[in-house]
Amino acid sequence: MNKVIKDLLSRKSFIFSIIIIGFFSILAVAAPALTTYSNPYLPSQQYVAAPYAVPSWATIFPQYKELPPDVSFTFTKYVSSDSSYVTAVNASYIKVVVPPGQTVNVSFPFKWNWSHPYDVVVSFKLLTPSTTSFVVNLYFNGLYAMELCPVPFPVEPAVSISPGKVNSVVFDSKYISPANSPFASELPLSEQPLAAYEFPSYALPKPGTYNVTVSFENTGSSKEVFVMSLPSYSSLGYVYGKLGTDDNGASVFAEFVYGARFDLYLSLLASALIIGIGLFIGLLAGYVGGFTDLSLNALTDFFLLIPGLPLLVVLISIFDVTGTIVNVNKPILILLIISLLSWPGTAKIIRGQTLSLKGRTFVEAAKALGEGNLRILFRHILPNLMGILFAQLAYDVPGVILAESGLDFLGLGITGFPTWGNMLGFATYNVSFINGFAWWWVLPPGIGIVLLSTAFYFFGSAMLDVLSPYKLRGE
Amino acid sequence: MIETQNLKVYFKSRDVVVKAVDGVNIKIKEKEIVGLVGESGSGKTTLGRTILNLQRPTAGKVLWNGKDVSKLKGKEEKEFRRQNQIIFQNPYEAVDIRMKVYDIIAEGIRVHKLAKNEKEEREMVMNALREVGLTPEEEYANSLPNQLSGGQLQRVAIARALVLDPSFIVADEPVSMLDMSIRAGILDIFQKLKEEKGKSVLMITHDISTIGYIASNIYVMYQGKVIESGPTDEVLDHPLHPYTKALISAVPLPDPSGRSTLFSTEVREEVEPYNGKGCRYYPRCPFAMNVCKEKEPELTGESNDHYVACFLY
Amino acid sequence: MIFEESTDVILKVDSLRTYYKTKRGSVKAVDDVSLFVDRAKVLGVAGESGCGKSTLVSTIFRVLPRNAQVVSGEVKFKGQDILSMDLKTFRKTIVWKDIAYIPQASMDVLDPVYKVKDQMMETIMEHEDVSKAEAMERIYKALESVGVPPEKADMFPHELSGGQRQRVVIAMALLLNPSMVVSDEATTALDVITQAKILKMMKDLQESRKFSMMFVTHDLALLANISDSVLIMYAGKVVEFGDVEKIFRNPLHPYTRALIDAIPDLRLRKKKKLVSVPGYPPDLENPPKGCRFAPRCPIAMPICREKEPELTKVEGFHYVACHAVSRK
Repeated sequence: MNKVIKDLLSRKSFIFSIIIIGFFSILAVAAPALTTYSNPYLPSQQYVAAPYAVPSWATIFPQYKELPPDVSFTFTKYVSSDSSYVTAVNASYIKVVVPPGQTVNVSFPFKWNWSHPYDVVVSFKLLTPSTTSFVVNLYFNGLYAMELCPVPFPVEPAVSISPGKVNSVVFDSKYISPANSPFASELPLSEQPLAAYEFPSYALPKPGTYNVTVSFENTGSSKEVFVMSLPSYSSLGYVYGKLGTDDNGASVFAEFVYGARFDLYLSLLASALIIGIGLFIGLLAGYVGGFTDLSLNALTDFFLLIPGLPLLVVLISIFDVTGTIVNVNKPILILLIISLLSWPGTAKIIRGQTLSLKGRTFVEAAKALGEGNLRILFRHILPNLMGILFAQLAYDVPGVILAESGLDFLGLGITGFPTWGNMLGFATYNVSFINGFAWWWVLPPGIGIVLLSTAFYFFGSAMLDVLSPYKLRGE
Repeated sequence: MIETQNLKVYFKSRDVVVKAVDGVNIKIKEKEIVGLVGESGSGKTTLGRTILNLQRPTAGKVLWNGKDVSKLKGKEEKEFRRQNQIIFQNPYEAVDIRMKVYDIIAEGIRVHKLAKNEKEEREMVMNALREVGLTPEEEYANSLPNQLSGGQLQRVAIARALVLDPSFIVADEPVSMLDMSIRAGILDIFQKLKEEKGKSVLMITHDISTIGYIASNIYVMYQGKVIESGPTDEVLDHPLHPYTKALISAVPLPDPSGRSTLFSTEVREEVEPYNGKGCRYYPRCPFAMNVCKEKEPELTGESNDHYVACFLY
Repeated sequence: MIFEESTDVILKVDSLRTYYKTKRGSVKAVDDVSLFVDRAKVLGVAGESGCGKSTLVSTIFRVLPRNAQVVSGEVKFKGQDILSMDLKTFRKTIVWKDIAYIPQASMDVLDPVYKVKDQMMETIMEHEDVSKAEAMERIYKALESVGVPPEKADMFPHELSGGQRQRVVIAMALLLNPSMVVSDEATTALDVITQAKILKMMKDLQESRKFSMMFVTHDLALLANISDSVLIMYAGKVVEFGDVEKIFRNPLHPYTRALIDAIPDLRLRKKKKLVSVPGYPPDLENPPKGCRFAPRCPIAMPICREKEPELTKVEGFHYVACHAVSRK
């Protein structure tokens, strides 16, 4: 055994394969620890950053240098036109006293180091007076972002606020429209529908110091007292995590890791199944020979000649339709169908090898010793097939990965959670010049499939060489 | 003990029928070494395999103590296997190189359940190793086939057969793959088996000179037929068939003054192909007559169990 | 070393050492081998598997595998050091033209997809500037001289019998009239009768055309029949070298004696018992100290396990490397 391992380790291709397979296996096993998103295709796990956010390390490239990451903070500094009206209640609340007929502005300055973000969210808590004679306006950098009125149905674009209560005020650029934001309503009519997208670029166009201003206007005849929390700011950036985001702003890294987990899992299971069927049929055909061989060979040829992918497509579709009646688990369905269509190659190889082993002198010697067929099979044939079996197992893995990825790519396979195949599928559908061809989304699953396939191929070849003594002994 | 009766083994590949063994009668008595000589393609290996029921005959039968070996069943078949063993030409091919020498030899003991316990099995294996001269036996038992030389491995193969205590052994060119200097050692083992244990051996070889040292009877085969047979001394000292004569004269002698004998080998170049009905040797026979082209000669007795199939006699 | 017996030397190998590099060290396949072949004479080289005789041949033709290396020594052919020569010039002007190689004609020696005559044609055309018709004529002549009917020239290698294939290989070697041929186990896989006929043919050709020959084989008995001098190798070393009569009539090295005693002899089968040498050849990565044959030698003395014996002259053309002999 030691010799086998030593022999294996002396091969560079084997070391390469082990490193690659090891890397992906660790990814697969440690997936829950590596990312907090267990299924980035769920809406709740999307928009962790802007759609098509680039990986954070990509900011070393000049064209991505200015892109902002996800930012969120709570303001700590405030400035007002007259400091006697504004006093701090504690670390996070301030009290604003507005004399009758006057307006008090409280500004919250902050430094912005990037180009514009995907969105802008400002939120704070506001305790309003119990009268209705006031208006609170929110300005973002001079842009009239929001108007809050203490009447149930204010004239649009003003938003209602409850008097005498603690209100949660949220300004989210994603949801602004001419109905809720004076900014949007002031735009020319043709641009109004785009207000939500354009606001960030108006508000935070480039690095610099900006401010959020809350303006309290007292329209009544007695002084009014407001209490507000220091507002918090947050925005989704165009830079995210290790591998950026997809079209839904979901973490590509999470997709990649869970894709690896599923692909490895499925391909190993399917390969084991393929080997199981192939070994049984191949061994039976090769060792028994005669009519058994003939009929099994015919069966193998039949399955071999079926055009795999089209049938796969048809079968999946049929099961998909009936799936609403008979509830079949899709991954299991794919596993079974791929295995059932892929065993003939393996069976043929094993049959050939068995045939050649059967004709070898040492098998004849075993027969001459009086050994029965079963004993010969298990003691002499099977152990000598070990190399081929391992190799086939390894060679089948890329086949399964490719078949499954192909299905997912076409949208016929799994769609509910990420696999490398549907990552590629969705990516191909969405990438374009506008999102810089989202290379961070396309390359990882692509490279993953190629690397893993190559690695398994090398692994299989090394196993074949090392575990097949009859091949090597020609020296 | 072993006897073949008009044994025929034909192989069919597409339209061509190859008559590997074509009506062969041979007899091996107890406690004797019988030599079967022939060049490659003469059918000698097929004959050996058929005798051990590793190949089905097309016609005729092989009798083992009077019983047809192809009809043996169950216990009797197992006993036949135990009592009749085979040694192959290429020792590297004949053993499963994944198995340790110990397991290779113990295989037969396990199959036939010859040992009551592990201790007894171990003893049997070690005895067999000692018997074939592989000492220290403990060391050999633990080695793998690829650590052994061809000669050592051939001894392992012999030990594997001997551990079953067979009464008859087919030795198919057991020394032709081995170096000259160790051949005699292997042949000695067979000699001892006959003399000390009373075993019978069918020694298949292409080398008529070696067989002279150990066989008491010789059969000479040519293209599926026995063309001459008889006691070793008779056949070697007074060969009758032109082919046997050629075989003998073609053996190189380790004697610089003997150059003439090697180069006097009289064989014609094959000028015309065999016509399918005459003597199989006539295309190469320097003494070919007209009758040789027309009819196949029968094996007929000349003197003292010396048989020859040739129209010259 | 200097051999006084050499009168008209054509090939001289001097203290040649060819080692194979392995992971654990080096295999001394040819270790300090010296020999000579005279014009129009036949040198037989005998030894068992792994004795280095094939490596010796590969060294002479400079076709060693990558991991092999000539550590020291030289090979002189007609006075030219062929090991230090430019490889291209060597292949173009010496191999085939002047010194040809006859391998064992197994299936892969002749290219299965070319007809016999095409392969022979290529050999001629690559080395000589002659017309096709002239070359064809030479091919037919060459085939005739080895006893192959001319119509076989139009056949593919697999249509020939083993003996005919071997004859074709010999004809190819002799196509360019080399002054020396090296035959490496050329008759090994053949039936005895075919072997005898081909040996006779080779000997006749050698005598009529007067080329030199180095005949490498594991079968010592063959050498008694065709060679003028014999070299016995064991574990990469020359153990005995001398005139054929001397080697067979008076073998001095215990290994040579054992080899001769191991040859079955039909005439003497009742008087002479076949002898086998106990033990097995040594591991050439770690050859035993002293004489490499000592562990198997029936007459080994303490000095044999200490010091390597040198090839020394006994009397006439007879050299032996054995302490037991040099003491006498």
